[in-house]
Amino acid sequence: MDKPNAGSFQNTRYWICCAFLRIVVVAAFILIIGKAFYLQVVEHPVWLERSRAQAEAKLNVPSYRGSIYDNRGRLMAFSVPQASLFADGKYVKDPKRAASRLAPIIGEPVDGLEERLASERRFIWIKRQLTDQQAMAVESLKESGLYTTNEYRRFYPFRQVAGQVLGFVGLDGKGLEGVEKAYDSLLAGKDIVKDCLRDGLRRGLWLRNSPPPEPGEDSGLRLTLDAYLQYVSETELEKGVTKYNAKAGEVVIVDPRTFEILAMANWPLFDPNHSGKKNAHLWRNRTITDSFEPGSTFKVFLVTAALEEGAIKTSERIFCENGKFRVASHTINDVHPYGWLTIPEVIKFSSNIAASKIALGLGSEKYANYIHSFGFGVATGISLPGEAKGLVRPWEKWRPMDLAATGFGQAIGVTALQLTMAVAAIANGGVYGQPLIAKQVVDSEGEPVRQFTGTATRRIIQKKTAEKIRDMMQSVTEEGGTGIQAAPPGYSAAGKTGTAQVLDPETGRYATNKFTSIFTGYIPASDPRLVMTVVIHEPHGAIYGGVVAGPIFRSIAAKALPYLGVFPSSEHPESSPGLRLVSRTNDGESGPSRIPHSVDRVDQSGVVPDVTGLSLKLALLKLAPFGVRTEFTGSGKVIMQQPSGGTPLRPDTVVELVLNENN
Amino acid sequence: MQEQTTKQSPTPDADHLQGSRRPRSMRSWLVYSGMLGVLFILFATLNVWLHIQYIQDGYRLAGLQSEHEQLLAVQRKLRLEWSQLSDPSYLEKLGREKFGLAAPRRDQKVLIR
Repeated sequence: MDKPNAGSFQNTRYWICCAFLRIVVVAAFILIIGKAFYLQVVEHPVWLERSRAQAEAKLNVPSYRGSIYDNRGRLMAFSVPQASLFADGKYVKDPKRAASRLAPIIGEPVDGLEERLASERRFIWIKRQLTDQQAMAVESLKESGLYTTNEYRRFYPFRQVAGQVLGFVGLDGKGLEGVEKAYDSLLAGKDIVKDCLRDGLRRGLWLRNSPPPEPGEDSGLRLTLDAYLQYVSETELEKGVTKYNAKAGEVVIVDPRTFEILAMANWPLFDPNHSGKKNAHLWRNRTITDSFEPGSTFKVFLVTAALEEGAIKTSERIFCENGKFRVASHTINDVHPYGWLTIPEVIKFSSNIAASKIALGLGSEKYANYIHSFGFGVATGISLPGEAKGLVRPWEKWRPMDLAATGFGQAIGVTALQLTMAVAAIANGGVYGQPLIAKQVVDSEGEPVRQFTGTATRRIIQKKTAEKIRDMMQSVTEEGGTGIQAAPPGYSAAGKTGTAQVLDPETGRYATNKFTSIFTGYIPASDPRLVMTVVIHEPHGAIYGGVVAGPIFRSIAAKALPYLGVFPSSEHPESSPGLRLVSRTNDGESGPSRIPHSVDRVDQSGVVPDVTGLSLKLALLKLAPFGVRTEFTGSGKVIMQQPSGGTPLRPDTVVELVLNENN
Repeated sequence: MQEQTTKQSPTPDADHLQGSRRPRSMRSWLVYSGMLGVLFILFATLNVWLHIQYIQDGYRLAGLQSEHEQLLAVQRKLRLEWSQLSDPSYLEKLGREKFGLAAPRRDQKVLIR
């Protein structure tokens, strides 16, 4: 069979078809290239934006609220992540069942829960800041529509210690009281915003050179408070308030050299971990919010002003009218009738009549100027919310009785902090300064970043005047003074007692059965390390400042001073018989950081060992090292000894033992 | 026609040679195609495997990151617990109730200078 000729196919129709196909193919490719050009060049920004929107995201990681430390770096306020429970109404299949399973875990009524879960809203808070156990129990339910998210919860590890000073935060982490409120903007911190990629499931995708952000703290705060001193103050204050069944009490401790507040105790106590509305009456920091009449403690400032102005001399004597003194239509009384008293005795014995005469002699204007110089009638400027200015009426409106009464601390209102800062000015030689509660801003590791400094101080009295007043205040805590119970053994204290009547708001007169007991002072008198004010409101059973507040001052000082490295002198009469002297260190300094060379017994003083229950032989062996003479009666085992075990030994001690075989 | 037939008719040897060249080239193409196909399948398999690994690694990484975040949260809570254990009131209560300790009396204190 003949094969057809290939050339016969290359006819016109063939070439037309080829040409057509070429045109179509080329046109198609031109279209494709053109479209590609349009998409990738002309619309490039649009598609770039869309791809970024799909693949990139900004992740917002909130920072922890800054921690609060005491002056020694102890943690006092701290935030931790805590799960909060919410529901998506769209995915809750069976609200009734979910509510009945959830109610016993979170401790809420079933009906209320069911109503919330039945809502169609996409986001419903169920309970915020669950405990760890609650969060685990909720997640184990695996109930559809219920989810947890992390929020930050504030904890105060020292519980009620400095509760009113620290304050607390709300559910959203905003400071509402105390330091938390005053330094809210500093502690709140800034959120971390970081760019990240997202995978197909829209989860964050972190690459090696772009690790995921870790929530951290921005800035923390180190306070001037000392947690231990705060604790001691609160404990002793509570004991005193409980003993006298008082209504309330405050203690403020300040370092007179730096004006740093070391403690601010309030009673009743307040635990900011439980800051519900039912505890609202406990929130306020009474040391700055509540003012009271300072009573006889104000005589210190009156006498200081009069000495500074030269209106009186320490050698002068004032006649105290044997206990009754008439000013206008009012009678001023002394607790005890006095005749002639020297100026130091006016402070020591706290004569109201003498104080009135000094005030009347000084004059309203000069006296009012000194009152303001000492910081009364104005806020101290401490950076805490709610500070009261106290009450000092304009001197132009003072009648003679007002001037006289102000001399012994009535008709004037002060806060515990104002009183303490004024005494601090006397303690440090006459310089008044602004109190500091915040010491430093610290970073997330607790390292200082910025220091707080108070405003400029001002000199209000001369140093020699302050020294004269110091001597007078020291006599108050010595034999015969009204504050003899205030000085701890081994220390010299300078202070002033006060017992002020309380105004009854209903009658507008002073109540006959309500008093404020006050003791304010500094210790040691010669080199003050602490200035402390103790205020007890409405005690029962005893009312005088020296009896109610003085012992609290002593108890706190006895614990605080050794803690600060200030030890009692060895010459004080109540030294332990077991007192032992050690060799001094090279430079003669002592304190917690010094190691003594050796310890020697100065004498053979010690205590009698307890030998009851021992046989005669063992008892004699035990007593032998003490070199004491021993006498015994009976046989068997020691049933009684005289002196008893623990009694301090004397060189002539004779130990008598009574033995009995039946023991 | 006969000339064309004559011209176009190759010799029997040439015909035989051309016939064996065509089957050989066909086989080569088949072999190359087969090899390409196998390579394609291998690469496709590798690609899928890599994709799966990537996804699984992504899950593992997300799991590790989640675990890391949880451990950081636990660390923070432990720090809080440690601070709570140094609360002075808690320490005093512990000393008093568990160890029977009490504050020393005045005569029990020895002053060392």
